[in-house]
Amino acid sequence: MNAALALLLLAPFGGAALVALARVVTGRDPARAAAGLLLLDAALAAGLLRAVGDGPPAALAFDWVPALGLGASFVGDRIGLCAAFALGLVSAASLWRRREDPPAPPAAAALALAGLAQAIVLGAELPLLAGLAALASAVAFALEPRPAGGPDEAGWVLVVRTGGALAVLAAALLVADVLGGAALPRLAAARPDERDWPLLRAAFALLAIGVALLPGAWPWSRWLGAPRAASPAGPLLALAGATLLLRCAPLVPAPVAWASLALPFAAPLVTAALGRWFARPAGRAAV
Amino acid sequence: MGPLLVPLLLVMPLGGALLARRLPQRAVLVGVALACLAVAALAVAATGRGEVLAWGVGAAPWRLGFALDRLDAWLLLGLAALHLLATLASPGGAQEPVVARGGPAFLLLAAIACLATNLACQLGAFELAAFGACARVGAWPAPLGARDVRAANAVLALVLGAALACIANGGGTLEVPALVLRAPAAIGADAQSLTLGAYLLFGGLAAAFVLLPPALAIPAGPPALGLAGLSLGALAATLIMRLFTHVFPCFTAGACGAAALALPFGLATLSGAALATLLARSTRELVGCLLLVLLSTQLIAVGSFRAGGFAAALFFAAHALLSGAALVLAVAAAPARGGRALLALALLAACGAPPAAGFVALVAVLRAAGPDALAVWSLLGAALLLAAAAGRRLVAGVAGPATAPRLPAVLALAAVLALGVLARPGFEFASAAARQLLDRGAYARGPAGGLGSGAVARHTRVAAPAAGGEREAR
Repeated sequence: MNAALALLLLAPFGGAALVALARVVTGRDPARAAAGLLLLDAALAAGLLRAVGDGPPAALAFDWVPALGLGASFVGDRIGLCAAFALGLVSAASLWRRREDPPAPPAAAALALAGLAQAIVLGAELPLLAGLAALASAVAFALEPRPAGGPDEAGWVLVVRTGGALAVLAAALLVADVLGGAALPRLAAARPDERDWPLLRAAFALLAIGVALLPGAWPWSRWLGAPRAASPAGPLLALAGATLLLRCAPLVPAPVAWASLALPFAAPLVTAALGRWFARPAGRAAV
Repeated sequence: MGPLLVPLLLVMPLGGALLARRLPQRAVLVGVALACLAVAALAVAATGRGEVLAWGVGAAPWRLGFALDRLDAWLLLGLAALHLLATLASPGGAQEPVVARGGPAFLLLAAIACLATNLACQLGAFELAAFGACARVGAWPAPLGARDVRAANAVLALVLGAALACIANGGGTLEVPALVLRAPAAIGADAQSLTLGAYLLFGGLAAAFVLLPPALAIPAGPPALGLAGLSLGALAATLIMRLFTHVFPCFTAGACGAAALALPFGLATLSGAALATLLARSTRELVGCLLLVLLSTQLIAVGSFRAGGFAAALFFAAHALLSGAALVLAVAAAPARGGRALLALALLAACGAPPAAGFVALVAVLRAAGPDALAVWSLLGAALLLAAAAGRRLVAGVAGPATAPRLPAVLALAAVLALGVLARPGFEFASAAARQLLDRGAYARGPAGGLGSGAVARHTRVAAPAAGGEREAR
């Protein structure tokens, strides 16, 4: 099972490298092949989910820099595998149905983003997850459509997403300082008196803010035009962020945790509504 | 074998400069750079066991002593790698803009730069290191023709020289082992001179930071110029670490004197550099500002004056050297095919995306912030946001012909990635170097202490004897 988990994590990145190579050699972007690979990846997640069942989850762990509390560990539990399955399906669907006008971003970037999102939902070390979120923000920048002559919205989204990743990193380091470790099992094992510490609440608030910023909800105007909203990065990162919040739920009382889960999805919706509201006068003027 | 590495480092660059007049220039320079890298790797391996490599020539009172500890070896490895990248990035021959203007002077300049870099890493030869650093600062951009940058560099060299003169006046010597032995007494006797020297050092550093973006913006400037600025920043941070651990040991009870300036100085330059990215008019200026963000972050880690902060600063120095080099070289190669992707990767590495070394370095700096965490975290976060905003402008603003091949940028990126993957041994070595730096007694007890005693004997004949220093020397 552990080997299957490693394959699930590495397959999108290996696929991204192959797709990029194919693009260089043939001059064409094999988007359908990339979508097929992601479907296989989703099937692997489903198979692993079935194999795990009620038993112990699959796990991979590497000590990276123990002196700094940095490790690279991944847990294939039911929540993570469900999210990985969903991410694989959404990514495959977006690649399969992508538009070529305006020119689509490279399929290799879409594969890499799917791989990063899956690593976020399967990861078990908060600092590493923050780093992966920052990397995902940068890869998502490559997927954002940039219409010629339009405002530089993709650049602003990159800045907002980077801010989100930094907030997650700050939360991770705060948790590491307070609890003496930032691995998700340590969070789950926090004692009731530890959960009442204000610094942990502050860390969870930072995490929620970071996760809300990751889908790239701002600037508002980018949600107005259908071609510009075509990037799958927002939904993928929203789903990954919600899973991350769910895994950190033991840090706060249950009602707060459940309410925070809505944040990554609600933030883009709210900003979209606000964007439409603010765009109304301009629309009338155009008419 | 160990102590012989020290004179090897001194001889190789000069020998290379002489050979390069008769043999193919580029082959000799690359060969010398590779040899320096190999010797530096050997020095890291030798000092990794805790040994201080000491080598001296002559007898007291004219003895000239050299020593190499973990800190020196670590920095030496980074600087040797940087020197190799700079050499590979230079087209060589008549295509080199500096050679076209200055002819064979470039050979001498390259040799002096390499020699100064190596010398500045020598613990015992602080006087020569200071001379090398000043010569390097003053001489490097000379053939480029920008008069204001040349003049500013001359002023900078003078400020650095004045700072070192003050320290020599206050401490009675510039040899670090001797300063370790004499400093406690010297601080009581002539604290003003030492403190003035430390403040001047910060002044020189501030001037160097302000000069870096305009120096990089010189149109004819080779990528090696940016790499020279990077190495100078790393050397300055090391000099500050040495000065405050060995000459002003009072900081262990909290920030004192000029040592208290390190953290606010780092935070101020970080904020200034991050804001300057918004005002940068050209791609090269933007790169200069991003390099300053890297160098300032290193100073912030130094400003904590704890073992954790020093270890973070040393690891960050390696990251800053390699990822800064990757950034400079990728910008120079960006107009070529595939150059934009290379530049994007270099930006990611410089901003600290995993698994590159920057992520580990960033976490180390943030965890070492201690009681100043709020200021450090918020300013560093804001700087990274502005760096991300600057990065998208950088990738979009690439224009003109490529001024460097892609190979050096790819090598620098590979090195950043390798340092990130092998962060565990790297950070352990940096931590050991930080602990060694804080253990002042080890310098007095070890072979470097022997060199220091010789230097004390030499200087006590000239300057007034310092009772405390002599007592400690015994």
